[in-house]
Amino acid sequence: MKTRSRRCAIAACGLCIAAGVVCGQTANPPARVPEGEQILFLIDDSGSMTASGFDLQRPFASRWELVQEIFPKWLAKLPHNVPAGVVSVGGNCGVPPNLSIRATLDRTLVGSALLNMQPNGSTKLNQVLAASPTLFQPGVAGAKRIVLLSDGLNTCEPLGSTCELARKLHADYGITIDVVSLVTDPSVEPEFRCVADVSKGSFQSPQTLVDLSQIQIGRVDFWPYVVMILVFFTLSLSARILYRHGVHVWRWSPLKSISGASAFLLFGCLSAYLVLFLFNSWFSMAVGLFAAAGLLAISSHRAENPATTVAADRPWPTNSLGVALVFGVLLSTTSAAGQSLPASCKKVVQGTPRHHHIIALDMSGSVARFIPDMKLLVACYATNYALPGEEISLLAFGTNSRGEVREIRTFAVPPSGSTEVLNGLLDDLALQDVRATRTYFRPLADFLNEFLKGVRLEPVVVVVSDGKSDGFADAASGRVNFREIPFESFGKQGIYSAPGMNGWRVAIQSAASMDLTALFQNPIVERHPKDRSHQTLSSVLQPCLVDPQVYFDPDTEITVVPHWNPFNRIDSGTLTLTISSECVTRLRSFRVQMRRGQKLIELGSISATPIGESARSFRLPISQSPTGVESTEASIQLVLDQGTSSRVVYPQSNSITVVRETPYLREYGLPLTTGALAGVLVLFFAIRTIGHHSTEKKNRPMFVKGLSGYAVAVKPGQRISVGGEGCDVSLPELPPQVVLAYAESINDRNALLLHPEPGFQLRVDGKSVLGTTVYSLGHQLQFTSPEGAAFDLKLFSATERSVGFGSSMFGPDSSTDQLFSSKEVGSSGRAANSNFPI
Amino acid sequence: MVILALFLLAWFVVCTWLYRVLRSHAWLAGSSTASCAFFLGATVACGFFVVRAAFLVPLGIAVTTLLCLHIRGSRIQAPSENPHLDPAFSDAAMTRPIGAPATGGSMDNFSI
Repeated sequence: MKTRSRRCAIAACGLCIAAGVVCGQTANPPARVPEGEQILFLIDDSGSMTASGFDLQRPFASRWELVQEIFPKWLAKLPHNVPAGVVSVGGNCGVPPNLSIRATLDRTLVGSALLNMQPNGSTKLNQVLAASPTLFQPGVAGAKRIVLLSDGLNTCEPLGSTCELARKLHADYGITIDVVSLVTDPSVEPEFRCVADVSKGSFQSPQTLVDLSQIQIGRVDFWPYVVMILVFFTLSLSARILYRHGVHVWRWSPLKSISGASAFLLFGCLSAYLVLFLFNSWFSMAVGLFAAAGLLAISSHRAENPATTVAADRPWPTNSLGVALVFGVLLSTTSAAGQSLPASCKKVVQGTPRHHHIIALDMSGSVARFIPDMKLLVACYATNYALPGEEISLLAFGTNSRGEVREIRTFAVPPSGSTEVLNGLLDDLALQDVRATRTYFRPLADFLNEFLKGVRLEPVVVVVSDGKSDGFADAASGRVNFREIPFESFGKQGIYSAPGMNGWRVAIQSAASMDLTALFQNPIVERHPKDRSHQTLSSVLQPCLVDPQVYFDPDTEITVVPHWNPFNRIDSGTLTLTISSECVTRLRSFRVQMRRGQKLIELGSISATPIGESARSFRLPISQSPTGVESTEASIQLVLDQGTSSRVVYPQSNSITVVRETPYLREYGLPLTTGALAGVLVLFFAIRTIGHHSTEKKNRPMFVKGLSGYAVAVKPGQRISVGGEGCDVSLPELPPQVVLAYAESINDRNALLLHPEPGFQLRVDGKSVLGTTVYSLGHQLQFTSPEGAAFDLKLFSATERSVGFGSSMFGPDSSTDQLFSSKEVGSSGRAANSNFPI
Repeated sequence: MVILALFLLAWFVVCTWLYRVLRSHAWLAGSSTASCAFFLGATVACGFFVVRAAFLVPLGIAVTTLLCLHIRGSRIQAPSENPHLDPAFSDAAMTRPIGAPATGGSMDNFSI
């Protein structure tokens, strides 16, 4: 019996210890790879947010005022452990957002962010959305949610579809976008709906302030509630079982049984509540362990006293139970721990290709057993940090007895990612025999120093090893003749472990731009650095090869000239920069800024341009508002783009640049005056020409002819005679000198004023007309003499070509009229009545 | 969700079988044990959707231990062989055939 109870006690202890280990292991992965929802608020602070009338209850309140009022309420709705950030999407296009706070638990910082802002400018929604992944806390797995509040679509570069951008963000980063639309234009709404749909978010279009305040922020996770209910049922039934077991098996009194069952129920529910909703885990673990250990202890105690129990008939299977539980839970948690690394493998960088990742793997026999984990880490690293277009170089060292270093392959990351290529390369690496390989770090450093000279992008050197060098011992024994360096010398940025790493480490050295905290969160502190007389970290890899300095000098003087249009208040000029780099040629991206007084003016940017030891010149156009001061001093600075960070570089020698503004009159006075005089002259001649043309057109004669013969020119106001031979328009049937009527030109070029001679009766188109009349050319005329003879004729409009030689174009008054005589004017009439007395 | 539903269905079948096995033992709370086992399995299954539910593992171990201790009594001797047991539990009550209605002596009708 004693043996049995001892075994029971041992099993109980084993179970408790195992549970502790299990809990520790199950608790650790979330600690190493934090997980939880993060929320980023994208608040539109463009100029349109100043419009009022959104809420009819408060018609004079602008949208921005309502947002400022509602934003703290939204924050208050969030669970206290959900990091929240805020970024504004208004302001001028192409410049960074006015407000940008990365997701944080500091509610005061985020809540007060909007208070002092004033909406203005355009809506650079696409620009901010594209950069939004960097505003989530890196290295935190779990849902990433953007709450977009806007009253309009994107109006800045890049001008692509916001919906497509949202789809890409969801695919690449798992970002969900909830849209809170304040738009009043119905045509905008489909785009916002598309943004919400493709990112698996929600679309809400509140109409009042109350609607705004009732918007659900974040995801409603019902699973904790489900689990809590299930835990309650489980514990209730467990309490009942405990009661009955106590009464009937352990022979407890009913009061004791009820107390024990109630305590179990209460503490169990409390611990579950603490775990699920208040994120307090230790109390729950303590309650569970205490309960399990207590049950086992009571059971084993009862087993030793069969008189007090009914369950002492056979060897108690506590040992088997405990061992089974230990193995079962350990098995499950071991598999879970193995999955903790891939859980953090998600792209955490974005933007343009920037880095050359040099990954050096220790392939010696001493790390052979870690190779699968190393492969996993390398694949995870590449997934996290290598962008398509960047380069990866895979190096292996410690591959033979001489500890040689070799480059396995350098390749550009394809659009589909580098994991497949890397896995293929790593699978080809053969495992080495421990005794057949030597690990030396000095040859690796020399190799890297040479290798870095050919790197064009910013290098990131990652050395993966167990850190055990054979160089120190071999140097002491004379096997090698170089001075070995410690593994830690490669870790200028630090020596790290990663989830799943045990027995091996990672040394990282790069420019300051690389934020690797998403994967490497556990820096390893060297406990006894003074024990080793190794060289300093900076001397291993030449600093200028890893992070070369950039030198530049601007012009000592810049001249800006005003725009030719005096109403355009922009002066422009050109700045010339001479830029060089230390040591090696690298692709650099930078912005050029001019600091002038309190103002910081962006002059331009240059991206991915090779900068080497030989100086290169860049000419940048400058545009600025005139200050009215002819000569001012400014300082030019470069802002090196380093991905998530930036570095300001100041001029090497010309720290002050004089900006000279040319006054408008000095620049354009002479040409402006000359131009004005020329304009006046041109205007004068134009007016004169037009006047002459107008006069000529006004005095141009009309041409009249009969059915046959030549046309007769009739100047305005000129009178011509119609009659027998000798008249301007003569009829051969009439006696000479007989005049039927006089025709006079009027303003209408298709009509004449007709004055019949006294005694003649005139009929136009058969209608009798008395006295002077306006005659439209082409109509039938009939003159009836006092004797009753009738003469029919028609007058027609003619062209200048119809005027025959000798006809008068300008009438008898004209000087040229002397060339013509009335006899030479062709007849246009004919006798309509042959009985006219001649 | 489909996997969860399938698991719960399978677990329900297992617990039903457990109930049918245990209900013939009068002093055991057969229905309670089977129900508790079912809800424990459901809690574990749903706990996969809650990150911090891993911290409930010790509590689950405690409940499992209690269930195991309790089920262990299925091999308990009959009351006639255990005179210290409550005489109210007769052999008839202890050995109710499967499917037969519970009598007044069954612990299945016992209530706290």
